[in-house]
Amino acid sequence: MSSLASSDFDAAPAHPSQVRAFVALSWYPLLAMGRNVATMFFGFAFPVVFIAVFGLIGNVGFGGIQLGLVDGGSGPVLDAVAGLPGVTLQPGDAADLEQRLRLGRIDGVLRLEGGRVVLSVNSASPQSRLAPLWLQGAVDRLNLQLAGVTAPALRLVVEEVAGRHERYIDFALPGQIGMALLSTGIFGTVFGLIFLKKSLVLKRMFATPVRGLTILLGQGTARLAIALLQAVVILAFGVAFFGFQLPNGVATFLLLLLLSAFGLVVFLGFGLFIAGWCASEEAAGPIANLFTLPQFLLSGTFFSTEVFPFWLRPIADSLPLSHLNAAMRAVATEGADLVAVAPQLAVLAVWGVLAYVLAARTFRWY
Amino acid sequence: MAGCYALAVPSQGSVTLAQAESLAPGESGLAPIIDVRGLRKRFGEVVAVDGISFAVQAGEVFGILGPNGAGKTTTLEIIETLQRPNEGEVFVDGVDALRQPHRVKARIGVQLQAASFYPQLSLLQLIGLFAALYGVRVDGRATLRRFQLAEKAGATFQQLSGGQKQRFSLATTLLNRPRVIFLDEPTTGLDPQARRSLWETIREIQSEGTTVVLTTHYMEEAELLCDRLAIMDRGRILSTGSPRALIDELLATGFRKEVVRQDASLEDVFISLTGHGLRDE
Repeated sequence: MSSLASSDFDAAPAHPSQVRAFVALSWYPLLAMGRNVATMFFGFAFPVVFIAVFGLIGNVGFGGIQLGLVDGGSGPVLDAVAGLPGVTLQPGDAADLEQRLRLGRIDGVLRLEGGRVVLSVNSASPQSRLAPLWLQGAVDRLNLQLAGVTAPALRLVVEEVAGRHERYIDFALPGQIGMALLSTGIFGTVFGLIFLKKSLVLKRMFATPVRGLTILLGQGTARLAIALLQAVVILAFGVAFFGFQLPNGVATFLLLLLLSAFGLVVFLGFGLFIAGWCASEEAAGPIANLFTLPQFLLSGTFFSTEVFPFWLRPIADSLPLSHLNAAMRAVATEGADLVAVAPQLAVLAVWGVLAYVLAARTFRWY
Repeated sequence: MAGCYALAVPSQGSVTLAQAESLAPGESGLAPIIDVRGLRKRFGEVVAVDGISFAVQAGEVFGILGPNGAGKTTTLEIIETLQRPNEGEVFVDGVDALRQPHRVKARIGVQLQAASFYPQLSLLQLIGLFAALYGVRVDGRATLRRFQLAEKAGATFQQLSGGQKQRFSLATTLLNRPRVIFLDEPTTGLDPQARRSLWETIREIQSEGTTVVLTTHYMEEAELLCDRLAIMDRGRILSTGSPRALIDELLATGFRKEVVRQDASLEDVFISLTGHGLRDE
């Protein structure tokens, strides 16, 4: 008997495929994020600009010693100094050169007064205080010649070890990936979800037979795709334009992506917690900033946590981003493998569990 | 008690709208498509819905009227399984809404009051998304054509005019071919042309056999559109019946309105000057 009251005729399924719903709930939000100017700017253009700046900082290195030469000097000492590699002489008037030394434009002022070689240095400049070492070598050699010593009893032989060329970009780039992941995980999730909540987009979705978990998994997957793309763009930009080195090539690259995914999943948990806890952007904004800004500054994103006073270091070293940065840096600069960074990942996992427990307790759909 | 409705119910085709309308709920053995019993919902100290019972017959347009804060939206959202009541029972199309919310969600279409849609997605993409959420296949362009939104296929929801937004929202409520749709203040904020056009669309949907439950603040709309009404205030239902029956009831108490003979209203002037055409562009 067909019944009016309980007809299944033509009805949509009560439990539609969650796989199809999940794919749609990942793909369409990803499309939407791709069209969001703010996401694209802060997620992609911003880190690339940072990398460009840090790449340029890294290229400013030791430029040699600039010495001012007071006019009128001449003789064998001058010839010896002029022949030193890495030393540039700038002849000029004594008062003018002294002024430039004070300003740090040059590293020393040389006056040749017969047998006296007078070098003025700027005690405030470390490079200026190195200048006497350079001249001492030249003066010693002349002294030996004048004394008729052709075969000195002691000789200094310097051997160089070919080390990894460590530049600031090598430190900064892994930190930039960490910072991008934290931004995407927190700000993207918090503001994205609160908007969907306030504009009743989530509620409208809840009026369909889809499961809440499928909606969240879709959101998380879309964010994960964006975050991995960010990591790839940052790495590619660093490798292509600033000679960022991947110790084990593709293996390092893939491991960095794996760490990025892990980090993002942890940060997403905090994003969900804040988005679930706060009803409005006004409330969520300060809390999201309170969570992210200290980590940007304290987690070794721009500089090593070793520069902090002893009391601050335990705090700085326990933050989730610190552990992600440490793991990324170990992989990116030392070629560490997954086992080597397991301790950092373990701490990160503890943070992640804490985040999801808090999120599960506070989350409200609408 | 979902099962007992199936007893002694004639097949769907044999029930005409006129028959359904002529029967008072609960009297005939004809099963209502929505049956609400003793519904109560508190938010802290505030009682939003205070023990209401009513039934909606299949195929009718049922209106819930009431001032702001009367409990209309809360009532709808409980039936839509978006909120859980503190007390009471709700059956939709014979399904227990409290025990089997997903089966209810599959059978209903929902237009929320002032709801928005995912930003940055085109209307066509939004239809694709909702089709996936309902687990159905739909022809997105045909759906948009039907609601006069064909040229807006590539636009986002946020770019639409008020009337277009309501039409799109209505379109999404029908994707799963629901037995009942719920429209929460569908015409609030629309100009007279858009309102009249939406009335036509709602009548069309009714003529295809879909039951419509709506809330409104406009008495003219309720009188023209609704087969039956419930008037709510402070969480209680004060009266139910067809608009004519409610008016007759009032007149029977001796109520007389000072009659000013008016052959046309200001709205008639407005429509005759500005025409019936939709002004969405």
